[in-house]
Amino acid sequence: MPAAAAGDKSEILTIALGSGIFALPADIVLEILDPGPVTPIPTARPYIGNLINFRGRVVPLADLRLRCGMPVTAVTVDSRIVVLEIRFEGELILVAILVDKVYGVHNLDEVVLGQVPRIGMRWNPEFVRAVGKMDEGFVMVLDTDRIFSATDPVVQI
Amino acid sequence: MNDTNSHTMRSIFLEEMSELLQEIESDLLSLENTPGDRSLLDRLFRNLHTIKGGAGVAGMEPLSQFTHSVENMLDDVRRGGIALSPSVIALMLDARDTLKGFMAEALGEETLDHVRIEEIQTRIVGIMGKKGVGQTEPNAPLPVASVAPAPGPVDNVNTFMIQIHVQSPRFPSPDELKEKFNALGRLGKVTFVSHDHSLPPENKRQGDVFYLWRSVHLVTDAHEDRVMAALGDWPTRHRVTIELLDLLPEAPENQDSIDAAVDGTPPVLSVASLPSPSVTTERPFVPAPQPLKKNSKGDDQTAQKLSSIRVDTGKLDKLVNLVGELITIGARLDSFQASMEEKNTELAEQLLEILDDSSRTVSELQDQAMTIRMVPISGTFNPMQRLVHDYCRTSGKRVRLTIHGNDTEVDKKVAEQISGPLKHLIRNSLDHGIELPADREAAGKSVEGSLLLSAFHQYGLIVIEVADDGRGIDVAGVIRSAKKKGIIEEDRELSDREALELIFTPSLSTAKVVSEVSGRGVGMDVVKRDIEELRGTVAIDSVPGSGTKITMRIPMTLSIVDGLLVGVGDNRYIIPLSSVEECVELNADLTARDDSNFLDIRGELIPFLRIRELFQVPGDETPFEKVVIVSSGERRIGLVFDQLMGDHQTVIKPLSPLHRDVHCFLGATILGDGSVVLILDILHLIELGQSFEERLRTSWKP
Repeated sequence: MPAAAAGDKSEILTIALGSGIFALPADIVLEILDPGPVTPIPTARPYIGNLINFRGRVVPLADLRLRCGMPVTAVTVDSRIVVLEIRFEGELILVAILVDKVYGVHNLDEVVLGQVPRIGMRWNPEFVRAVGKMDEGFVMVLDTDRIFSATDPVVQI
Repeated sequence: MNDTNSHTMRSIFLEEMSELLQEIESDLLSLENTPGDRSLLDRLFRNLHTIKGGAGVAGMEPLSQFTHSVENMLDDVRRGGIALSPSVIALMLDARDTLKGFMAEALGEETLDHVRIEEIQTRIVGIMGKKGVGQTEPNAPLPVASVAPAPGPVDNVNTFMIQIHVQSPRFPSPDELKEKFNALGRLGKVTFVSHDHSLPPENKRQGDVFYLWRSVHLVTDAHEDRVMAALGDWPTRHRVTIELLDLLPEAPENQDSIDAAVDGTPPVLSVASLPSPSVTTERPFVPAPQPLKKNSKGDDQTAQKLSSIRVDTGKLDKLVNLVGELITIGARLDSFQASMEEKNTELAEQLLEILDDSSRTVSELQDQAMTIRMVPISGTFNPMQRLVHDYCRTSGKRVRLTIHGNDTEVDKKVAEQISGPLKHLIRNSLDHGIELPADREAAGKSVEGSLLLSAFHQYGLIVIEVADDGRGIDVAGVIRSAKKKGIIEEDRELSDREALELIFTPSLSTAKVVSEVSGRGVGMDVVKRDIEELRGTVAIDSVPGSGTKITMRIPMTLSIVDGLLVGVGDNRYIIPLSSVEECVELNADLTARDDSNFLDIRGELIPFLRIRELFQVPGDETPFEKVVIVSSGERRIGLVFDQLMGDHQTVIKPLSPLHRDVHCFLGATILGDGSVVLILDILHLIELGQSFEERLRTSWKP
C-alpha cells in the first residue's frame, strides 16, 4: 500500500516472530502484556485457538507463527502479548498476538517499499504494508488487517 | 444554530416522534372502542401538537403544516363539531401513517408519497366542511366535547383559580374527587396544579391528618355561581377559595391532570422545575402575575421528560463491560490480599474488609447496569393492535385483541427480536385459527373472535402467550400429512402432543397443503428457530374447535445467562441452566449397550456426547464422569464431563468475528477469578448428537 507508506514512516513497534524481526504500525498497538492464562477454543482454527481476558473484554489470542507457517517454540521470559486493533470486514476489532520478543518503538528512517533488493530477503507484498530502512537493516511492517482477513490456510510473508 | 446542532435536534425529534406515533396509533385504536374517552382525545391532540412543534424546530416545515391540518380536524372533534365516527378514525389512522412516511423520509428509509398527502388533506377538508352538519355522521358528537367552549381568548371567558384544601377527617374518596373535577371540566378548560411540594416534610407530618391541597385553573364562559354549584357541598366541607384571574392558562390539560390528582400519580411537580420549552408553546405566552403560573403545562412535560432520558445502547454495553472489568480487578485484589496475609496479617485483615464492601457495591452496580437495558414489552405488543385492526377491516372477520402484562420488562434486544415471530403467530391465528363470524355463530361461539396476547415473568424467563378461541388444529390432518410426506412412519402411533410438535418440522410446516388441512400456517419452523436463537422455547396447545395457545419462554436478557459450570480436564465450560434437565453419574448401568453412544435413562434411550472427545481435551478419562442431560423442545442429549462445579450467573460476551466459524459456543464469559470460560451452544450440540444418532441408526440396519 504505497499510499499509506508515508504515514508508516513515523512509528513502528519492532517484534520477534520465530527467527525473524518484523514491525507493526505503532498506532494499532493498544497494549503490551506479559503472557497470562489463556482459554483454548475447541474447534477453532489453531492460529486463533485461544481467548484472553483483556481488561474485562474477551479477546482472541492469535499465534502469527502458526498463521505464517513458522515453527512454534515454547513461551520464554521474552514472550509478550501485543493487543492490536485491526480492521476486519469493515469493523474495528481487537485481537491479541503472541510474539517471541518486543524490542521497542522505533522511527523508520525511510520507507523503501518497492525499492528493497529482494536478495537475501523473502517477502510477500500482499501481507507486508511497507518495508523500511532502520539502523543498518530493513524491516517489514506487517499488514495485520490482511493477514487476518485472508482465507488462505497459511499466510506466507 | 449550526448544522450539527440542527442535525442533532432533528434526530432527537425523529426518535421522539416515532414513540409519539406509536402512542397515537394505539390511542386511535382504543378510541374506536370508546369514542367518548376524553382523555384519549386530549392525549392524541397533545401528541400531534408536540409533533407539530418539534417539526417546526427541526426545520421540517411540510411535516409541521401537515400535522397542523390534522390537528385542526382533531380540534373540531374535541369541540364537538365533528363526530368521531369510524371513518374519521380511519382517516386519522391514514394520516398517522403519512406522518410516519414523513419520518421515514427524513431518516432516508423511503420517499414520501405526495399524492397520498394531497388525498388525505382533501379528505380532511371534506370532513371539516361537513362539521356544521356533524349529526349526519353515524355517531353522535361527544357529549363532553359538545359543551366545551372554544379555546383561546374569547371576550366573555373568565379564568378562575379555585383552591381546595381538603379538611380531614372528611377526606374525599378518589371517585368523589374525580367527580368534582369532572364537574368543573364540564364548565370549561381545567388546568390542574398540585401543591404537594409545599406539604410539611415527610417526618413532620402528623399520622392522623390528611394533606391534600389542589389548585384548579378553570377557563370558562360560565358565571361564578355555576362554578360554585359544580363544587356542590365542598365549600362547606373543605376550605375552598374561588378567585377570578385576568389570565389564561395557555394549554388545556384536563383529564390527565384530573386523573393525576385523583390517583396521586404521576409524581407531583415542583414549582422549581425547569422553564417550559418554548417548542410546544403556540399561543402567545401570557406573562405570569403569580408563581402559580409556573405550574402549567410546560413544566408538566419537562418534568415527564426529565424522568427518563435516551441512552445509546452502545454506551450501556460499554458500561456493562466496565463493570466486568471491575469484577476482574476485584479478583486480582483478592489474590493480592491473600498473598499479603503472610507478610502483614493486620493490614491484610483491613484490606479484606474494604474488598468486601467493594465487591458488594460492584455486584449491585452490575445488577443496576443490567436493569437499564430492560424495557416494557408494550413497545412490541402495541403494534399488534394495528395488525389485528387492519386485518379485520379487510377480511370480514371480527377479532378482539386483549393484551395482558404490557408492562412486563424484558431486555431491549429481546423485545426487538420477538416482534417478527409474534407477528407471524398472530397472523396465523387470524388467518387459520379464528373463523368467519357466520362459521363462529354456527359453531355456537360468539361472533367476535378473541385473541389474547399476554406476558409475564416466571423463573427468570419472560413467558409470552398467544391464545385464540378459533377452530384449533386438526391433529388427525397433521398426522395424515406427515405420514404422506414420510416424516413419520405409516404405522407410528403418536400422542396428540407429539402430533402438535410436528407443526414445527420444517418440511411439514412449510408445506402449503398442510396449512389448509391443519388450519395452521406456514413457517412455524421459522418461529421456532427465531425463538431458539433467543435461547427460548416454544410450546403449542390446541383443542379442536375451541382454540390454540402458543407459549414462548425466553430468557429476559440476552446478555446474562444463568449457567452450570462444568469441567473437563483443565477446561471449564458453562451450560445455560435453562436447557439443563438433570445431572447423573455416568456408570455402566446407564450405558445401554457396550460401546454404544446411548444412555438408558428410565427406559428411554438418549444419545450422549463425550465432551472430552468432541473437544479433544488432553488427559485421561476420570473414573466418576458426570452426565448433564440437556434438552431443546422434545430433543434431549447427554453431555459427559469430569465434574460439575455449581451454578453461576454470568455476562455473555459474544465471540470475535474472527471466530465466526466456531459453532459449539454461544459466547464466552469472564468468571470472578478473571478467567475466560466458553458457554456451550446447546442447540448446536443437540444437532450434533442427533446426527451421530442418525449415523448409528443407519449403520445398525442390516
